[in-house]
Amino acid sequence: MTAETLPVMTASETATRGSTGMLGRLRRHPTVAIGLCILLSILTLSLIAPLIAPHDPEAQNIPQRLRPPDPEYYFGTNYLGQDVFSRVLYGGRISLLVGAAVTLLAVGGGTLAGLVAGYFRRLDPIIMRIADGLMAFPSILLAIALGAVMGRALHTVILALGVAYLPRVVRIMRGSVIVVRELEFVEAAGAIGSSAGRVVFKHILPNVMGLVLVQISFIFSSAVLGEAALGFLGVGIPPEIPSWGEIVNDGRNLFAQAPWLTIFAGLAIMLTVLALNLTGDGLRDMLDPRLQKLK
Amino acid sequence: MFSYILRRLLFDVVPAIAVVAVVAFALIHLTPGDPAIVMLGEEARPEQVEALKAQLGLNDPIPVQFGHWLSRVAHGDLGQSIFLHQSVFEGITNSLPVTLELTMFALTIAIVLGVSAGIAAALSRGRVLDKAVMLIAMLGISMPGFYLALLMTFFVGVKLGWLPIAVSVSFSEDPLGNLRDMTMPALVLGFIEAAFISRVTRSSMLDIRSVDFVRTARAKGAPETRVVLVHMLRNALVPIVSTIAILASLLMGGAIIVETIFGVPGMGKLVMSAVMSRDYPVLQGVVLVVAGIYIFINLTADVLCALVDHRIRFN
Repeated sequence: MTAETLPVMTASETATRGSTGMLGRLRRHPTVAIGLCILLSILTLSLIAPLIAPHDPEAQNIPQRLRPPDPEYYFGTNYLGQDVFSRVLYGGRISLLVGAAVTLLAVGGGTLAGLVAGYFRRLDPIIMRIADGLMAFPSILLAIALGAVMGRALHTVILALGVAYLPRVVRIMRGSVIVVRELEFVEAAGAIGSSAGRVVFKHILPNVMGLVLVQISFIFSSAVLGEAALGFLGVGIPPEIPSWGEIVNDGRNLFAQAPWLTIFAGLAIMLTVLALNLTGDGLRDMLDPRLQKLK
Repeated sequence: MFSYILRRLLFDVVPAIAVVAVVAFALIHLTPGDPAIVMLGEEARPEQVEALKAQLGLNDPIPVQFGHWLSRVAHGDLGQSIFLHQSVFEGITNSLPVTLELTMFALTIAIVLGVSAGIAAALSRGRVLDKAVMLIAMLGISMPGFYLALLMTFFVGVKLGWLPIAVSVSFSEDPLGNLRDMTMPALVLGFIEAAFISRVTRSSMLDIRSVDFVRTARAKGAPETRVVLVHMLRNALVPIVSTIAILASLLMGGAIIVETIFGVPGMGKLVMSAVMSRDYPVLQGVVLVVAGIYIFINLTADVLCALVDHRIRFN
């Protein structure tokens, strides 16, 4: 409904690609490298959680409850005497898994719908009106409502957040598909008799791939935030599996006595989202030649 | 201008409302199993379930239900809350003003903070001030609202004791006291929003700074403040206004979270209690009203943009 403000790749952008190597471009946009490094570290720590977690995240040890951080319990213990550090490590697996699945759903589905809407003029108004309608719901409210009616489970959280973020991707992808569609090589591909599927996937998709990467970073970051918010509100994944948002929620009433219950899980969310946003920002700048001229 | 508004209404607003209505209606039918049993709980007596089904018209075929529901909603009847002993409409009219107060308060903070920080950053591009503003904005957009709320509650509310950490009086009882109570929730919400606004303001100010008319304004000797505030800001305003309108949904979403933390009796609290008690009519009503507000805000923003930039009308 509102005029599109988000950056759309233009013809010249796709043409300036590959002038220098990947490393050279990363050096000019250090934020991407920094973001990816933080992200990879967090991902690795979560993946090898069973190997490095000093305690069983579920093991209760009431005599040791609410201990502040010390060399034995790096992040302290909660009111059940569970090791917060181990819980944050394991929580990362859930938060990142949900984030990745939501991103797959929203960016995958959104890109497909965006390609269809951008290329097939007849379907365009229908798809865009539906996307606009869905955009009217605050994504967190839509996710809360969908999660509430479908029941609390891992797959409903993924589905609810995925549906909530999908329309944004559709809008952005459609915008850039329309630009690429008008380029000569696409017209040429059509003229030599390539099928619509071939034109869309072989000619248009590779030219909007950069934007897909940018979307992956931003949707991933929104998804991690969204999942955390649902967990915090107590409408996320059932609490047997504590995600970062649920760990924060767990400790919120004890914040004054035991701030370590919330601070570390919150920092983990923030660091992950920050890394994703840095990556997304950097990738977007990398793809935008206007900014390169300014530099 | 009139034809522009009419076109927007017909081709954008009406279809969007239709989609919103379908989704809001469909919510109740997405429950696995019988919605009436889900709402009342497994231990409900059969006659209670039947009564609720009759009340909600759940025995009719789905298209008939949709027709009935739509005509009721069009008449302003959002149904009866199952647990609140009041109509959904009453529940919403009680909590909506509170949420609007909170979001307007937050938006004011966000616009003042975000636009001025964005202009300051753009004017000092590449220097320390720019880097500092952009770093803070980056942290702001990466910060979960609830985390900022918890940190602020503890440090500003409990440790320093500067601001109350919960809303204790309503606006009608004690306007000043209420605004004081609302300051912390509004700051939390406004700060995150400001982070987004400052980024957009900075980049659209940078886009505009080397355009011909800006150079002309400078060349004819206009004072720098006039160049920045009148010539540049006016033309950078369209993306800023559009972003603020799109952010309206972020603001409403953020309000849900912030309201639960600070005990603000608004839409967020209403929807969370509806979720906990499976009060689906309330859930439907809130979803519908919030989406409706978003559509209205975006229409208004489009019209405002068209007033600022006449080219938009002919697109």
